[in-house]
Formats: sequence, C-alpha cells, structure tokens
Amino acid sequence: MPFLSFLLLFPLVGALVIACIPSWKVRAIKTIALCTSLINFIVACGLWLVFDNSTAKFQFVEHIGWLPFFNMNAYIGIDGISLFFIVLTTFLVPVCLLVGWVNISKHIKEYCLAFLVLETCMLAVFCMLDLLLFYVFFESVLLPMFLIIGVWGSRARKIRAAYQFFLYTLIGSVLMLLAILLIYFQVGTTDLQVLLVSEFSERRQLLLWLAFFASFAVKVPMVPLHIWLPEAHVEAPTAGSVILAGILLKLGTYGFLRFSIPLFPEASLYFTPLIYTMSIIGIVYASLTTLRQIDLKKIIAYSSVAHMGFVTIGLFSLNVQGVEGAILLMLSHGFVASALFLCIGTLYDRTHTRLIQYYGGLVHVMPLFSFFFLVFTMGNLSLPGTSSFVGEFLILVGTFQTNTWIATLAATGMILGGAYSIWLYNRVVFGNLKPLYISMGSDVNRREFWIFVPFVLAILWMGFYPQVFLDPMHVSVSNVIQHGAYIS
Amino acid sequence: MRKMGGVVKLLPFTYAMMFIGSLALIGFPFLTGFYSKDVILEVAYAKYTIGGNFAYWLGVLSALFTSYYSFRLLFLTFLGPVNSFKANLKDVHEAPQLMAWPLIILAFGSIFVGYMAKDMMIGLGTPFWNNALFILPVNTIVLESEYIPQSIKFIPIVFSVLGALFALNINIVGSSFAYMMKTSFIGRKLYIFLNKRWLFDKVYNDYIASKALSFGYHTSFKTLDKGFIEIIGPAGIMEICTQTMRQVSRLQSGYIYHYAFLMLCGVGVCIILVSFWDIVSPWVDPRIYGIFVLSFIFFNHARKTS
Repeated sequence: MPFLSFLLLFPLVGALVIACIPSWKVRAIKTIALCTSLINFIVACGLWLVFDNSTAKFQFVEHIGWLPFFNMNAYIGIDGISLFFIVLTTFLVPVCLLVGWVNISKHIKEYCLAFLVLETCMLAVFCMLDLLLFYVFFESVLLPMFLIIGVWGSRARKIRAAYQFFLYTLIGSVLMLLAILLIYFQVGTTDLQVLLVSEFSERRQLLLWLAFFASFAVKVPMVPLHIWLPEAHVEAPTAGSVILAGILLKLGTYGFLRFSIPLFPEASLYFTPLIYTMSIIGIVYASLTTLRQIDLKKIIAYSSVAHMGFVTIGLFSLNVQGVEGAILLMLSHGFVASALFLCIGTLYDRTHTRLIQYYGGLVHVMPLFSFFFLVFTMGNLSLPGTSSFVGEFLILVGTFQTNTWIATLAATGMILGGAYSIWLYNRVVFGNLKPLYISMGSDVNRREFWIFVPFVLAILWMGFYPQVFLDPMHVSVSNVIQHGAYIS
Repeated sequence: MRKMGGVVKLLPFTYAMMFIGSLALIGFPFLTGFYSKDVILEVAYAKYTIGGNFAYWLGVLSALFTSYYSFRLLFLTFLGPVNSFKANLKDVHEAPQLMAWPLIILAFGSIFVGYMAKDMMIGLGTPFWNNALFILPVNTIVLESEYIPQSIKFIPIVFSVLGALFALNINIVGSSFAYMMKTSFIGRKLYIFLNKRWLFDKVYNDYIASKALSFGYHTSFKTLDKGFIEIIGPAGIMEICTQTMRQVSRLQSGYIYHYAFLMLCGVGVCIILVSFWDIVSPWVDPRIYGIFVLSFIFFNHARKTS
C-alpha cells in the first residue's frame, strides 16, 4: 500500500488545487487546505494503527528511482522513531491552518500554499532513507519558513529574523554536504540501509560526525549557535512559531538519532562529553535567560532551547531509556511548546502586544483560557501526569547510568524550568487586571477552543499512558543504539 | 489574628472544628495525632543512642511549639478579648453547607481514625496493605518502645499542656508584659528573626537568587547572546563584510593608469613566479596569501574604526 507516497504527495495535490483557485475565493481556499491536511492526518493515524510494533525493519518502504546510476534513490520508509514525528507533523499543520483562519488577512492563498508545501518537505525529511535526499529536504524546509516568517510576521524585525534563521541553518549544513559527498565516495551509495552496515574508520568517523554535528547543532539548537531561535520565534506569525517549535527543532535531534549515532558509533561515543557539556550549559544558560525575559514569545523560545538541551542529553546517553525518553520529550515538546505559542497567539490577537508588563489578572476575564494555559504551563515544567515528565524522567534515568554528574545538573535544570514557567503564568494570569493598558476582549472562541482541546488530550494521554507511544519505539531504538553497544 | 477576638459566640461550629483539629494536631492522647506523633517520639527515644535522644528532645520541643501556636490561634481568634470593630463583626457568618459537611467528616476522622486504623499503619506489622508496609522481625524497636520509662512517655503530653498554658499566659493574661518584651531591643531583634523565617529568604535571595537573575540578564542575555555571540556570528560577519566590500570597491578608482599599473605588477609577479620558480620557491609559502587576505580585511577594519 503506497501509504507514504500518498502522505507525501497529497499536500502537493492540495497545493496544486489551491494554486488554481483565484485569490478572492478565500473560503474555498481555506476549506480545501484544511481538508487536505486533515485527510493527511487521518492517513497518518491509519499508518500508526497498522504499524507493526515487533520489528525494527523499515516499514511501508517504497522505492522511487531518482539517480539510479549513481545509487542515489529515494527510498522512503518509516520505523518506530519516524512514525510519531509523522503523526506530529500531520497533526500540527491543520492546527496552523486553523490558526490563520481569521487572523491572516492578506495573501491567504500563499499562506495555505506555503504550509502545504512545508508539510510535504517536513514529512519527506522524516521518511527519507537516503542520505542525500534527507539533506535536500532538510534544507528545503527553510524556504517556506523563510517566506512565512518574512511575509506574515508582525513587526519590521521579521526580515532580519528570517535572514538570520535561513543563513545560520544553511551555513552549518554546508559542512554536512561535504560529509555526505565523502560518504558517497567511500561507500558508493547514499542509501541508509546500506550505510548502516558499512564501517568507517575511526578518524574518518570523527570528521564526519563533526560535519554532521555542525548542521544538526544549529538546528537543535545548541547553545553558542542558538541565537536565531529567539529572533525567529518572536518575529514569526503564530502558526509559524507553532511549526518552528513543534517540528523544525526536532529535525536536528532526529538527524542526530537517525544518522549521527548509528552511522558513526565510535565518534558518537567519543564526542558524548562534548554534547553533554554543551547541553548542560544550554539548559542552565537558557533557563536563566528565560527568567529575565519580558516578551512572552521569547520566554517560550528560550525554554525550547532548554528542553532541547534535555533531549540531546537523553540521546547521547546511548541506552534505551535515555533515547526513548528523548524521543518522548521531543514529541511532548512538540505538543506543549506549540500549544503555548497558540495561547500567546490568542492573547496577541486580542491586544497586539507581547510584553508581560501589560498583562495581569487574566483569570478574571478569560477563565477558560487560563485553564488551557495552566495545562500547557504544567506541561512545560514537566509536572508528573504530563508527557514532558515521562520524557524527562526517562532521560534522567538513562543519563544517570552513563554519567551521574550530568544527570544531577540536568535535574537542577528542571528546577529552573519550574521557576520560569510558574512565574510567567503567575504574572500573566493571576494578580490584578491592568485596565490602564489593555481592555480585554473575549474569552476563547469556538475555533480556539477546539484547537486547544486536542493538545490537552494529547499531553494528558502521553503523560498517563505513554505505553501506547513507547511500544512502537522499543525495537527501533534498540536497533539504532546497538551499533555502538559492543564498544561500551 | 491580632485584629480578631471573641468570635466564638459568632462562629461556634467553626470554633468546634478548629478545636478538634488543633487537639488532633498537638497529639492529644488517643486522638489521631497521638498515634502518629507520640509513637514516633517513643520509638526515637527507644533507640537509646545519642542521635535517638536528640531526635526525641527536639521532637518534644517542637510538640511544645505546636501546642503553643495552636492554642495561640484559638485564644487570639476565638476565646480572647474582642479586638475588632463592630462593623467587621456584623458580616461574620458560618461556613456554607458545602464547606461544613466535609469539615464534619474530617472532624470525625481526626477523632476516630487514629484508634480504628492504628494497626493498619503502625505496630508490629500487618498484611493489610498486602505486606507493603513490612517490618523486618529483627527490628524489635517497636516492642522496645513500649518499655521506656513512664516519665518519658508522659513528657509529650506534659509539654503540650505547658504549651497551651504558655499561650494563655503570653497572649491573654500577660499580653501587656509580652508587648513590652516584644518592643524591647532584643525582643524586636528576635521577633524579626523569627518573623522573617530565620532570615533564610534574605540569605537565599542575596546569595543565590539575585546572582542567578543577574546572570540571566547581564551575562547571558546582554553580554553573551546579544554581545559576544552576535559579534562572532551574524552582526560581526555582516560588519566585516560591509567594511571589506567598501575597501575593495575603493580599488575601482576609475583611472585607467591605475588599472594598467596593477596589471603590469600582477603580470610581472606571475612571470617571476613561473619562470624563476626554482630560485623563488624557498621564499614563497602558500600560506602567505591567506595572511595577506586576512590582514587586508582586519587592517581595513581596524583603520576604519580607529
């Protein structure tokens, strides 16, 4: 069953249909875009239902010949790790389209087109089993995002933010391209299934790992290379921030998991202290910086840096608990951070300001919104019962077995996480209303309510019964890390 | 509380609930708190070590303070002299039904659950929780605690009563004397120390919290994020690029004889390098070209900013 090619091509079909509709038929454009993305989501859920949990082999594999003479073919397939990222992607894109339902007034057709094309590119990143094509789609997500930030952002700084986002990510990836070429010239193909069983010498592995690291570290983001993130998140429109936080940050860590760790096991082991140091510095640095921010979106952006620091610690603990915790934290962060950006978007739509000093006492006028905001804030601080707790706990368990100091420091990072989340919630929702600055609009309307509810359900489901999400991952994760197991 | 008093006539139900709760809290014999508090103190004493004794005496001291503040609350709020204005007392009303019924249930629990459920929790061990609370038979200290001196067993209740008497004396009977003590020099210092939670907040805020917050803004945000990392990242690279491009574009002076001169020099250097390579090569290291380029960039950058 060509599930995956359907998944990849259907948004493009929708985009083509939309491209043929004249721009003034706004209602038709939005409906078709939403239906396309919803059908894609249903197909992805169907993929999840018929997924076989008991094998680590790639499933639903399809082979599309691209450059067969050079052994660069488009193999697409998923395993336990990619499955949930595909479900997350197809879940977030309809949400983004819904967010722009009334707020985007100009160029709605191009907005829907950008998101559908972005959906195809993101899905392709997660299913691609060919190194070069993975790289192509990895970079291709930058193009629609550049447009989304640059056109529909909210203030003049969006241009600078879009350029910074684009160039930062691209420059890191140049080294990755060189590494891919080196791999191709050594092995003769860029097919992942062949590369997984081919060996690189240790020196070569170190170089290749570093080249891949340059690209992934910018995307994750790891601390000295993270400054594109606050800019991009703040200047992007709500839907752009949702996709950025929900999916694009995960591309970097997915790359680590899918390519760096299995292809270069000795190098991963060699560079684990580097990753640990950078991640711990990232967690503490980003958390402390978050405490002093005054812009709502910047707070969530910096807290995303801290959470991704946790994810990289979990990934490089190189045992099953740590890696599964990392993947679960990635998924959970995809839900929680996106939901928080949606909350901020709700506030921004009413008042057009993101500065905390103008907000206060929202619980009096928007109680339903305060409830949703509370659930997502609890998710952000990893309250037990939410998905982030399961992820972070598994990460700490896994990391403790590898390096107890790092686990201790990461646990103190969790405390700071609680500090900034609660403080933000306190200042915005409780306290006195500030009618001098803002006269509040209405509580959440029906569209926003039905956007928030699936996020709450997902976070609570993953928090209380993560079994369903962890079962498909077990065998695939064991397979990914066993490449290096015989060394340590 | 210092502005309340004598409210027992207005809120009898609330007073009854608070009284029951306070008695259970201080470990009044045979209420719920007794079966937890006194058992802990007795078992601590029964270890007969210095650590056990230390725990016992500190625990008894804390029982004294517990009784003191519980009874202080009862005295100041309910039983003491009235200290508020009639306008405030007019609106005082009992708890609504929704709050009252849970309070009743909890009061019954405070009184009876201790005796009824004590074997479920403490004692020689029980299979009630499916052996979740398991006591190894070698730990006979639970038996040992039954045989400690009788005076030791009386001390917690004696201290609780003493605490209640202290509360009565300091807050109601001798309140003017207490006020004089509190406003004396050393009394004020002690009061502030205890009121400010042993000045823990000051220590914590000054040495940890303000350092962390200042790091989060001054160091990590301003100096590093928007400073150092921006300079070696986008802002700095942009600056160097624009400077260098401006300098390089000044090479295009527009005069043909400038161009002709440069062409002549370039051709001359190329011919010398190509034809006299054997003589020249020990003096030419390709790395010098990189040094030329870098020094061109930074020389111009430094000259521009100086």
